[in-house]
Amino acid sequence: MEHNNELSVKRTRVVLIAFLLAFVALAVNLLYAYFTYGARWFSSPYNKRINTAGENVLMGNVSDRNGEILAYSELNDDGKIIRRYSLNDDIRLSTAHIMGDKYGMSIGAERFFARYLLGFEQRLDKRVVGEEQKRKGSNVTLTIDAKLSAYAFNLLGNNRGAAVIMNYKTGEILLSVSQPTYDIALIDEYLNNKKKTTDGMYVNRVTMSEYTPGSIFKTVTLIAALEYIPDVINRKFYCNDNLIFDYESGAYLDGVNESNVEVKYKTLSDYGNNSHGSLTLEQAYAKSCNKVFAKLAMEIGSKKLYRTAKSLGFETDFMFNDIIIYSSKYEVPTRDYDLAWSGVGQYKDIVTPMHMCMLISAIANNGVLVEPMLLKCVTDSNDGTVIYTPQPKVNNKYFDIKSEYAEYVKKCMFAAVDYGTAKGVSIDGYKICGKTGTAEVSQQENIKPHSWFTGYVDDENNPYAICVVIENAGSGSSVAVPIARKLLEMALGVATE
Amino acid sequence: MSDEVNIIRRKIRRSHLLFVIIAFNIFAYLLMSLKSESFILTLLTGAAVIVMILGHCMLTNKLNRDYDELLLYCVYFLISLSMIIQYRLNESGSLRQLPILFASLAASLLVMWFVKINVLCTSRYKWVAAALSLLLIVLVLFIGQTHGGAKNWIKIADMEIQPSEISRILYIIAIAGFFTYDEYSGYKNQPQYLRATLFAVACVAVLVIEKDIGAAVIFTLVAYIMFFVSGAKKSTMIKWIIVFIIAALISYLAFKHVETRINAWYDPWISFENDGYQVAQGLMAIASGGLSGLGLYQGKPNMIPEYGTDYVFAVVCEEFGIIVGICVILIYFVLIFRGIKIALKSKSRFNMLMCLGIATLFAVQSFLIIGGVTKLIPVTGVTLPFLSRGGTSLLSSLIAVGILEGVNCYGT
Ligand SMILES: [Zn+2]
Repeated sequence: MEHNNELSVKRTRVVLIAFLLAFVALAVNLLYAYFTYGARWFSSPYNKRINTAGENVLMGNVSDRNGEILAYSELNDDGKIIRRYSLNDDIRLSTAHIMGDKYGMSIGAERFFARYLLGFEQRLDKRVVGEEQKRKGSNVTLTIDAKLSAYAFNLLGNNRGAAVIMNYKTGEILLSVSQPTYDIALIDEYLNNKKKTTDGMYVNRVTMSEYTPGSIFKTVTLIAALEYIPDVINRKFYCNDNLIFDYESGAYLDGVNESNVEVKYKTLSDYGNNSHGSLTLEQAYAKSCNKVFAKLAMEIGSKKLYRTAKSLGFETDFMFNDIIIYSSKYEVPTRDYDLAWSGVGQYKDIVTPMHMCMLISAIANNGVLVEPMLLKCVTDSNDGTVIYTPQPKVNNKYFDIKSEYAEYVKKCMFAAVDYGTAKGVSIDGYKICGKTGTAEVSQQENIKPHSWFTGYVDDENNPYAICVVIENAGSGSSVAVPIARKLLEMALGVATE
Repeated sequence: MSDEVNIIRRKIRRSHLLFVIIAFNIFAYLLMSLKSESFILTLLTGAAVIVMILGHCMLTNKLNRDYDELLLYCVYFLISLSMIIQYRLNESGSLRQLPILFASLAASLLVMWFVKINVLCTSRYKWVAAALSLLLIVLVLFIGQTHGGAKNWIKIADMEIQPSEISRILYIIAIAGFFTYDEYSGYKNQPQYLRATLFAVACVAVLVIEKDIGAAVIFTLVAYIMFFVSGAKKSTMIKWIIVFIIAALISYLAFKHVETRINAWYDPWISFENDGYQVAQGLMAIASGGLSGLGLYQGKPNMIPEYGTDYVFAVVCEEFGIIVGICVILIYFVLIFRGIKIALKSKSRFNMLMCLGIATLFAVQSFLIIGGVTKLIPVTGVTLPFLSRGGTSLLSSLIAVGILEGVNCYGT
């Protein structure tokens, strides 16, 4: 049976090739996983190495973009290493979520950049040689502006809410504050119950809170309309009577108004029961007309609206190197009534402020998102030489916005500031564009809506995108808009105080 | 005569690899002696390992002149790395490993000699091998102890033995025997597929009853590849794949710990507190080490469960770095490649199938556990040949190397 042995030899070669492929897969997977997820695995709150290393290595300094020191380590009299934070209360409290505490109650820069701060990235000979006690980690500079943070912290005051500003050309996050906050220096006291905690104070509302967006969602509906409704730009709209829906089935009753409706019904109206009369699409957006956008949503249809939301980063957990952002959600409605409300940011629509800021950034940057980043540079703690400077990174993975749509949305956002609901944000000498939002969160009369503003400065040298949300504070134009204006004035350096 | 000259030339050419391994050992033990409790003991341990490796190399050379150096050097490197890691993890524990290493190296020489005088490793004793193999795993069923959900080891006078590790070699000899039709086997012109199938299914069934899923997968894959190479029909091979898929589905539904392992693989972080703990700890160790590793004694490998056995690859990555980890993967491949080369050049069908089975055994084991640790596939509790702590694993792996080297010299 010589033939049989020939077959065996042939098949042995096949087996060898299969093994080769399997082992190549092992090696490639190891490298791929390390380069894709390594940083995240390392900075996982479960990684106890970070905590124990912090006891043996003098962790590097964390400072803001202007060199203001936010955290540093020193040896106390017993030779134990102590982590200290900024002595300025406002700065310390306003940057608590960005920094993150040592126990990982909230996860921030101290953990994301632990690799540098603990010197894990230093050369092997630097690490192995010498006593552990004398080893020093590298210094980390953040893109955050501490002064701006403290200012925002005081502006928000006792309100619950969040504010974020990022540079849409470089992705640098200048401001990220969340209220209520906590004192990182007292984290042990909080955990020992020696100090009273506030409900939700560890939550970074910028990246983790799930908010009803209200009218700022109209930006999504607008892009969907541009995509799916032909010639929508030149259409004329009319806003007079409230929209009527069948109470039971939620079906839209076209051509019926409150004077001639014969069944039990529900309505959809504008904020404050306004009527806007005759409108162009741009005017409807600028004046934040619910009826026009509700009708647009019904015309587009829930599946297509969902598809657009998805192409704008909804239903995505953003896992960037410096920041992790919870996903915004658009639940596909089945009834006309829900679809209509979902088109104006109610129903079950949910967003995170950071995602909204990124959406505005991408639009402002002609449809291209530059990945948000928190790390400005890493420097050697001994001689101050720069070890690593991350470069701005364009990200095409999450946002898919055609540049002509971005152009049109920008025009609409400018109109909103020019003559619409966001008028109050305008600053002399700058072209500001934006959209307000008033998100109803309760049927009860005495619970006020969330107040939103999302927008950007159309300026080559000051390319800032902003998102502000104040919980249960009132309409967008009355609360979030003035706060946003003050923050932008401060960021632009034109604050009058 | 010119053959002899060629062999010597080749040996000289390749001997520098041996020097690299010795230098690696010297460097590592010197470094460890600075950190460890006993300076002298560390250096003595290092010296013992080096002497054993050199002694084994010389005796192999004496036993068969034309041995496969690359295969042996790969094994020496892995053994060295293993001893260094075990010493760093647990000094007193690793001292107990020294006599086991000695015995295993001696066993590999003995097996080389068996091949030379044509006993045990021939198709003549396939029934003996089959009976012993099955007996070893059935034994566990009655007197075995459970570890990590699987019943796979027995305790004899303070020694922990994993019979399935030894059983694997006999299993390969038996199946190779069933597929052979030479003057020893008594079969005429026909591989005994039915007998081999019944035998393999019986072994796998017992392992499944013991819930030793890792071993069951190894036995299955080794048999499957031996069937394939021995020339079974393509349609039969496809039918078996369907059977495996059904079996996998049933085991997923029937065994709780198969399901938890798959979930832990899919997202270890969600279930960090329980099922995903081990996988996640391994990933954090790998990520902490980075490309160049944290350096000996700089990591915290004892945070990983099973750091000395199943998860030893994560320890390698943490302290020696991912680059060394990739080198280890490469070395396993070279080892397997040499094994298959020996299979290809062996004259008898039995030797070819046996060597192929052994190479497959190494390939399947290292792929399963390295893939599991690095989250390419779900984790199966399998030891990494030569690297994991555990006497039985080392013994059986070195016996397998002895067979390969023996066949390389006398069976080709
Ligand atoms: Zn209106």
